[in-house]
Amino acid sequence: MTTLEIEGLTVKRGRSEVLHQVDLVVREGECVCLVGSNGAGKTSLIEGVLGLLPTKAKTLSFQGESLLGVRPWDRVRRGLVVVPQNRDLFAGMTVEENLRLGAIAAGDRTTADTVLAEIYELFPRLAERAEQLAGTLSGGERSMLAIGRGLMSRPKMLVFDEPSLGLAPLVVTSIMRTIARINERGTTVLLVEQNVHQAFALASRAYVLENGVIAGEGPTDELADSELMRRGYLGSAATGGVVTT
Amino acid sequence: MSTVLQLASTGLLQGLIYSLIGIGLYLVFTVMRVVNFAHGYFVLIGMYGVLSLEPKGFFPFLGAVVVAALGGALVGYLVQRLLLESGLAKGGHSQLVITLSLGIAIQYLFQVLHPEPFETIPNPYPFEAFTSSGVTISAPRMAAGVLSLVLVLAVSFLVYRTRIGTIIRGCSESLNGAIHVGINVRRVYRLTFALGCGLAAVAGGLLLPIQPVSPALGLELTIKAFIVVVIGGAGSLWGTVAAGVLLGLAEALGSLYAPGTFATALVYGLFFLVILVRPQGLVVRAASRIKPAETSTKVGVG
Ligand SMILES: Nc1ncnc2c1ncn2[C@@H]1O[C@H](COP(=O)(O)OP(=O)(O)O)[C@@H](O)[C@H]1O
Ligand SMILES: [Mg+2]
Repeated sequence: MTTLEIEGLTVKRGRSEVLHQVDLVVREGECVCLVGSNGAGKTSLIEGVLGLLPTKAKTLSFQGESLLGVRPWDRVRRGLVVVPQNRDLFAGMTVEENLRLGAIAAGDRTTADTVLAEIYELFPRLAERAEQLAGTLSGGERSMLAIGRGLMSRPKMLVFDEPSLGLAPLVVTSIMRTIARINERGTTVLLVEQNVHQAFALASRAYVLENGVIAGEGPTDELADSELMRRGYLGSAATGGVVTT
Repeated sequence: MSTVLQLASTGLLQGLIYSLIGIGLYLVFTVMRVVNFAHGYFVLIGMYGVLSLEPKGFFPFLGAVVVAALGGALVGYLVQRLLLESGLAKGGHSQLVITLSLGIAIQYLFQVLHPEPFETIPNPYPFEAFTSSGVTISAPRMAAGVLSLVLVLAVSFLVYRTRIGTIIRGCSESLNGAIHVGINVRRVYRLTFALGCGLAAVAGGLLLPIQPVSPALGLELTIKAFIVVVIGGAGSLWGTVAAGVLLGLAEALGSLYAPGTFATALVYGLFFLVILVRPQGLVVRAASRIKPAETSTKVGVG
């Protein structure tokens, strides 16, 4: 079954169109990555899918139901949760308050404590800092908190927008391992990254975004060898390591 | 000495009303980033609301205050829903123009409905005044101050201790974050604006037996509410409450040293000075400094 189906998606930022006729499919249980250099339109794609930016699309559906005309927060309530690039945490509130707000989309209040315990188990660091204000966390901790907050509603699908951005290599590895675990436990994942090396190691399929259009797609092992990845932006933009064959 | 005590008590009680008016403006500002220039006119709605209900006696008066508060909240809800939502989505200065024009419209409406200035109602409370150690406080003033304090505490309980309060604070911390956790921010905005306007109207109802109402009072009250929020640091509910009390005290004690209207001018001069020296306000919440600048609102809540 397809979890997310995008066909002919066009996204505007202000007057300019930053995404043109994008097709993208993520099936249930998959871990798919979307790579592209800075400014390619990755974040715009996510914000379009969530309804934060004005879009046009032939199809935009989640679990077989159209998202067109559905308000962003209702898309979240349907189980489509984004861990945003700039984290969008509640800076003046504690780690635990942030996490508890994450459970809002689930509607059911009784399971919140159980899920909270799970998240503290996944990120022991967050448990240690439960009473600390989110605005005082380090970059890695903020990334963890954003992921934890996203998990609180037990989403069907998590979209990660550059979870490794600005983090030290060791922290990146740990975050990536956590994303793999989340996917193994049954959450469908769309991983958006500039860090091709890390993303390809995790995902089974990939899409390459260039200047607002999909320039290539396929299984990660095939794509890694492709001409597109060898020439293209990889040489210039691969920050976390060049894909080797 | 007893004069000072008398003025300080009156100032404190008056200040609590300013606190109540101020937190209404504070909530709308901190959650929605909207400066409601019509805020003082919602106090007018409360005052004229109670006036036109002509309550005779204590319980009818309380009932009238509740009705006026609900009326103010309803008008606020409709203003948000019908006027501001579309303007908010577009950004720019539309909310300034909308709330400013709204305030003027309310003023002219009351000028037509109530052409004579300085209308009031007789003391609705079952007692006249309290006297203790040389200080005499009239019943309406005492009651208005105490009830304002109770309402301020109730609002702080709502904001800091309840689920809906956590949601409201979440929206004020990060609009996008709120959307990402599935909060219907449009509904929260409507409720917050209604709450802010309702609080202003309640304050108006309580104020009426103390202060005769004229249509021109709206502007003065808007400015006072502004002063309270700005001096309070705009980052904390308690700062706003403290600033309200401070304004009340400054007004009352100012009259010790200068006659009537000049005292008022003196008070505003003083606050002007405070803003020059400490533009961030007197009370600044620690977290508001480390909070990264909120990026522009990406979603139209309209
Ligand atoms: N706030 C904005 N207003 C207008 N254009 C923007 C804004 N943010 C990004 N853009 C433009 O939109 C395009 C896509 O940006 P974005 O989606 O952030 O790319 P990515 O996430 O892949 O780095 C870029 O050309 C960028 O310059
Ligand atoms: Mg991006």
